[in-house]
Amino acid sequence: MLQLKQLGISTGGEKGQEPLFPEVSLTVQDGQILVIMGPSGCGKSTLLAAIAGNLAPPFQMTGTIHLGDTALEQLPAQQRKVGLLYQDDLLFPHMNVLQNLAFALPASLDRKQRAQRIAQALSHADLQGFQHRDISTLSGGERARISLLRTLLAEPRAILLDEPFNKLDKTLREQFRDWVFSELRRYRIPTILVTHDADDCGDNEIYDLVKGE
Amino acid sequence: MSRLRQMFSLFPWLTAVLFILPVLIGVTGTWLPAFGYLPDIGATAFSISPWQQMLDYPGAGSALRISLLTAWGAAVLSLLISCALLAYSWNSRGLRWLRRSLPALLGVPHAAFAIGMVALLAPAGWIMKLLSPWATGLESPAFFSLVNDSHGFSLLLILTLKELPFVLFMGLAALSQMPVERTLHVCRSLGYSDAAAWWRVLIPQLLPRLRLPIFAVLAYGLSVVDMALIVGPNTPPSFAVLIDRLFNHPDISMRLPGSAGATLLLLLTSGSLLLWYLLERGSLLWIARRASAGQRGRLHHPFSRFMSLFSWSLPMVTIAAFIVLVLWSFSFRWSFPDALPSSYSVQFWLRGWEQLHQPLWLTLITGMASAFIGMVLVVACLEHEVTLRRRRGSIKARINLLWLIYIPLITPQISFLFGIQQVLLQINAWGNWLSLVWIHLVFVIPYLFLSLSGPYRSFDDRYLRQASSLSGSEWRALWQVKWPMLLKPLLYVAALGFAVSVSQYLATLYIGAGRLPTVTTETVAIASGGDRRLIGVYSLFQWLLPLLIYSCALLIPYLCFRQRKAMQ
Repeated sequence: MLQLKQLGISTGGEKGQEPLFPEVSLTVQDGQILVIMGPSGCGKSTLLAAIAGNLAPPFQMTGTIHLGDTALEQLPAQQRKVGLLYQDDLLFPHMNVLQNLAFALPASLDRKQRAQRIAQALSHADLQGFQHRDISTLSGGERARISLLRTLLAEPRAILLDEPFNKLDKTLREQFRDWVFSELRRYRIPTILVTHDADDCGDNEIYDLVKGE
Repeated sequence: MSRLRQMFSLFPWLTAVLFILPVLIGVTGTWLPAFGYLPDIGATAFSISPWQQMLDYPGAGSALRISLLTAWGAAVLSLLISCALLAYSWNSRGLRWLRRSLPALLGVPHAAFAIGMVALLAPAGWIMKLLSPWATGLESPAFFSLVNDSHGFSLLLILTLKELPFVLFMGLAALSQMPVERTLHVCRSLGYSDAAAWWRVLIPQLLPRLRLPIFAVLAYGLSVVDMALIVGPNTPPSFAVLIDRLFNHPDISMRLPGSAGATLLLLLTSGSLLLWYLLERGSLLWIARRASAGQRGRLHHPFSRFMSLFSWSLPMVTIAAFIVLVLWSFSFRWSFPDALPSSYSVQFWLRGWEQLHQPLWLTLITGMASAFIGMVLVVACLEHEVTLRRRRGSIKARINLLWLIYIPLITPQISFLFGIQQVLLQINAWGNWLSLVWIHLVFVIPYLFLSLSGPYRSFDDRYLRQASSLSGSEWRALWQVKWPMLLKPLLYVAALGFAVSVSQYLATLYIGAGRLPTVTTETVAIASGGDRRLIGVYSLFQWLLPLLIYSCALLIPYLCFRQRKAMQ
């Protein structure tokens, strides 16, 4: 469960600290997908940066973030176990598919275990045999799926999606979105999706960042 | 297509002819004498004896070793240090300050920088004076020297310090096209430290983009003469200096082994570039394999503090070199181990002005002419790219052009300057100011293109289209809208072109025939044995000239647009 309590983000302005949006208090249960909506520039991505541990000056955060029993505010980003997915897949071009996915796995696994885990993940995403493919030869949909697989292989305890469907065409967008939602529910990971497109909401709960409800 | 656009379409060809042709002619003009053919000295029979003569020349083997060590060492170190600065101090204040200092560091002429470093590091240099006798116990200069050592380590060090800003600048320019922050966020979410993310993910993506700049550093390191004369070993010297000595030998038949040496240097450079490419590919494969093993790296690496300190120290070293030259130039008496001169005088400035005012004037007009002509050519080429993009959205022409642009930078100067000199002699254009400007253009144009292409290509073409439709004239739209909006980068890049022209040593010597002395040729000439106070004055003239032009380049847009917040 991901809990935000009176989370506020402010930035130094001419009149001192100016809050970006009303304080956020919300809970996202395991397997739940919460959609956060708001107009461009209202602070949606900044909110995700705060949860992930990537908030940089001049932004400042108040309030608390809990993932299960763990308080995240004082933890560095690397220790929060919060997965991130952006609209750019950010697959690493100097690595093939296997290496991109293996990058997410812990160092404690041996080569055989890594290969098995990756083969299972690819099979589940209908990408069998893609291990040694060059990233540049993949289609947009394939890249998007591998990007999510990489995030999931790291076994995050929560996932943040920052407009991940933006760059996909309409048909691909619907297919990918449905697949992402089904995978996240299957893994029972609390998820926050930021979007400005109402079509992405599905039947998920919506939080309006500007109104604060 | 409008007449203006038709005119622009001619410029890529014109530019290619102007700056690639001399390289091709020059290389050919050097190859022929390498095989015994130089009719001007009566050598008309093809032969490989010049190669034998060159290889048998005393010190040739050691000279080759010194050049390979210093060039490869400087290239590897400048790349490693640049990567370490990025990996360990990306968001530090030190790196932010270094980034702001880069334009100033890039503009420092090589010879002036080398002389400044000698003034710091020599046995009676400022560092030893500041540390003596309280730390060193020395009451007189030490017998050992940190410069002109016989292995070339001082040349390697100073070359590294000079090339590091260039490699870092090109690296930062490449990084501005990559999603650095988002990549770091994703790597952090997967548990990786920032340093691990840099070494395993970002730097492998950066390396191919840095290939051409590193090629330029390698080629320069192999062929540099002015810095080698100032801080390099003397007996034997570096290979490029040896070749230069052969070309200027009183026995004119030594031009033949000199040409063989220049051709060998070209082959060595080509081989080095190929080897670097292969090592780069191998390294990327190795890094990709290691990265997928999952080692996350330490969150707080001990190197971070060290690299952050280093990023402060690089500009400080350059400032210290500048200050010591100023002290030298105004000193009348400065004995060891006094930290400061004991008496001052302006007489060396007066003497320096008397001796240098004509070379200064020549340097100024040559630099302005090279920068101006270069800018016209490069801007016209970039405008032609706009036409291509409008027509077919193609970037293929851009990619092909990039390799062409780098040709003068990756070809050792000494491997083609002699050939050009021979051709100019034949057509009575040797020692002619126009020839000098032309040869400077060969080196100025690549830097202009590399520096201007980013800002020019990212200019929103809709402004120009809008302005053209409103004014009815594309020419007016360029003059009144696009170029004023790009005034800051245009002037800055022109200043960079001027600085590149000022720095030209070998090109000026070979094409100027000794009749066109510039502040750089005079400074290098005096550096090896002149009065250090006069050396200080000469170096400062060489340093201050580009600094003055840079200051104008910064001031003019500020004055023009001080009422326009959007233009700041």
